[in-house]
Amino acid sequence: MVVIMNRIYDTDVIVIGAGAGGAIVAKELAEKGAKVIVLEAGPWYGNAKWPNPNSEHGAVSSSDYEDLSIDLLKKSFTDLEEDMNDQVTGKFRWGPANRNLPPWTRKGGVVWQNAGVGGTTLHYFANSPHAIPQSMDGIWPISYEELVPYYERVEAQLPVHLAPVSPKEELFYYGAKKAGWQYLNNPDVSVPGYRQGINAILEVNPRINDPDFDLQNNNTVGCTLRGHCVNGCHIGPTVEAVAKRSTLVSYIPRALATGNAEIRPNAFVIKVLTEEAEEGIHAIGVVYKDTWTGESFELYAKVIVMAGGGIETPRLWLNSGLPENPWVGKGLTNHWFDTVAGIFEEKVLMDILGVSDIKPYTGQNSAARLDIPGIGTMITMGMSPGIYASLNYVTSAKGYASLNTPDPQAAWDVEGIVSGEQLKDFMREYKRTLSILLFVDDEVNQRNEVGIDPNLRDEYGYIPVIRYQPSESDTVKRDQLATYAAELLRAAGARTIIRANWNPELFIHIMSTMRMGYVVDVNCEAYQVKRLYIADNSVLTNGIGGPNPTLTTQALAARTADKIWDQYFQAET
Amino acid sequence: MQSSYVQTTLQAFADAIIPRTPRLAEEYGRIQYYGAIDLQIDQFLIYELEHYPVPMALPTAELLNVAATAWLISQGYFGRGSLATLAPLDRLKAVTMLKQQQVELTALPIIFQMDPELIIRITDALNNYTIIGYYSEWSGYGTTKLLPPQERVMEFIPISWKQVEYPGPSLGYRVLRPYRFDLTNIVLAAQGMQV
Ligand SMILES: Cc1cc2nc3c(=O)[nH]c(=O)nc-3n(C[C@H](O)[C@H](O)[C@H](O)COP(=O)(O)OP(=O)(O)OC[C@H]3O[C@@H](n4cnc5c(N)ncnc54)[C@H](O)[C@@H]3O)c2cc1C
Repeated sequence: MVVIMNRIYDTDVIVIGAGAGGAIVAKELAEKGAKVIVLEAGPWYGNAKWPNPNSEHGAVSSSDYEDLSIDLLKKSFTDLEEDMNDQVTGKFRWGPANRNLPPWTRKGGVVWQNAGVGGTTLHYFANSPHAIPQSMDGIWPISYEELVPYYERVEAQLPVHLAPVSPKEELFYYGAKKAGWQYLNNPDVSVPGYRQGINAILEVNPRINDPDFDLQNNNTVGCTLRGHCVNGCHIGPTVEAVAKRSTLVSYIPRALATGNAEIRPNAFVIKVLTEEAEEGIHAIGVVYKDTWTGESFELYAKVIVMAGGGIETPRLWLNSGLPENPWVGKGLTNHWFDTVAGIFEEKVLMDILGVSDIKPYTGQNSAARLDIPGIGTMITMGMSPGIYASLNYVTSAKGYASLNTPDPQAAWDVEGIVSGEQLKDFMREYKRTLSILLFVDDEVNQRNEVGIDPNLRDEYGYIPVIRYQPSESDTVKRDQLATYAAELLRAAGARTIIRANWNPELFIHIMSTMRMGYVVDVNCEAYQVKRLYIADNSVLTNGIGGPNPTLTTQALAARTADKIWDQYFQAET
Repeated sequence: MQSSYVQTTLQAFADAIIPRTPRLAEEYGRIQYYGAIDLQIDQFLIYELEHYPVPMALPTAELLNVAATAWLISQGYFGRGSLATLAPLDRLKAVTMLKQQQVELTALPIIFQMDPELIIRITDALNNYTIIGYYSEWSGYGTTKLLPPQERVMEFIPISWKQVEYPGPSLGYRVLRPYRFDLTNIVLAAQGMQV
């Protein structure tokens, strides 16, 4: 590579990935006055520069707030779950904007991630709890206290609120209390208990139950409890006022409003460029490919921020030939999920709630929680029937339930993949089924990793290979959590309880593959490559004690933006 | 169009997961009768498999039939099996043999021999695609359901939605509850102290 001493930079900062973390860094730095270019591999929905984001290339970039279009967003986000979330052809998938092309390949499991401006927050549930303090203190290189002001900053900006109660949450709280759990008040949890959900969704209009409140022509700001968080929320009068606060509608519009940010969708970064100088190896730019044309481009900047998520960030490091480090890609935590669902009789629900069903497709997809520090978390989960059936009944490591002998000691009645008449019979009772999604505070283990395949490559480099095997203690914890969930449902009066028992190779909370203290320093700058920062789930030192990770990643990203500014730009101004 | 070999095999799989259910129909109404065959979920499976990073419909059908043969042999029979001729529960047993690695790798299509992990991935995916195809809006695309995704239009309410009483997407629900938490035993979560 040609070494240019007085390099002409294209911009101050390049951010790789416009997801949960990347969008925060971009907005925070742009607001301070840095020029930022964000390169995002997936499409941009709700922007006038891409009127047909899945069938035409459209423009190269947008840097104008006025380009945002709620009408286009509503056109793209159809509320239809196969159209939106099919992992092969859906609008929310790990693949290119052009839906006639196949998704991108990974080995080692099923990864539920999304490419696009907004990243995986486009379909996340927006649960936004803090880390468990004791999972950080003395373990991370920074304390929980250190993060609190950044939590507060992000909570105000997103914003984060206590979640509303619809029938399914009320039933969960009823069961939690009956099962003997204590009620906790938010937000710093260090003892077990249930609490009101806390999420990045705008508050419900208090008039929602009023029959005169016109839902069809509603142009007000706020959640309407319609249950489409996962299928793409578009409720609101403008893009920036959409109820569920994916970064597409929260931080990205704010970044554009500064006038200092440019975002290029359909831009897959394949290499980080470095240079050797007095300060050691440092990042100077990137190579990216246009996902429509396959054309390659180079861009140069003073600082590069990787925010491609827990899989693509280590992949990009390895494919770029950056310095070896025994922890690059290592230490993957995944919260190893599971579901436990309970089916209720009408009469039981009537007695508890005064209504005969809970309609899991109504209300926010996930709005009540129970945390058990050091063990894990349970949250309620309800949504449209395809994804619901898929997560509760056919995602399992236990094989077909009809071929399993039920364990009379188990707290559930059925375990494994539900099929045949039984599946249809359970789904017939969809309206009276309460589902609990649970996830474990799994241990960091160096053998759990994201690497690259030595031979197989796609047009963006060697493909990522994931290896993840939970430990003995993770298994014990998860069984414990599933038992607690079943007991809660039973206490609430469930008639039939079904545990799925998910296989570990289903990845939703992909964390700690570029851990702070191992690959990046306390400021999230790579130890071995100056001017290269990381701002996604991969920098978490561990699985934060069990709670959903995104708010913690976002708080860290806000902090990282401050550190970048102080280190490399403050003096210039 | 895929061969009838592929279609018959994938239909047999989908039917084992979501069969027609006359008994449920008798008890809960005629709508409960219909299953994956009626909603043509085999066509959905083929569409998904053909749009996998590499086209997979034919090797997947072969995989399922090799499993059927292995299952027959395990039961003391000889000759080539096909998934479609097995009883529904036996089809699931055959698929289970694949997952438990009880099927000779060398008997499988080459793509699975090269990457045995793909066996698990594809069998898991089949369960999942069957469910997504059946319970999502897909069958409601009617005559447009096999067109590229951008060209499909909803033509009717899927039978499956009626079976589960899902009304389809809505702009809102009036389900806000005036719930009050029981504050008699509040715990200040940070300290674990009672107040
Ligand atoms: C159904 C579902 C529900 C969830 N619910 C919750 C929840 O309630 N609460 C919670 O905390 N978490 C939730 N999560 C997890 C949450 O979505 C992730 O924790 C979060 O989005 C991770 O943020 P990230 O920045 O690491 O990656 P992402 O948000 O995935 O962003 C990465 C972005 O980088 C882009 N990218 C990757 N590589 C490149 C490259 N080389 N070049 C250019 N661009 C690239 C990607 O396309 C993507 O847009 C949920 C996930 C799913 C699937």
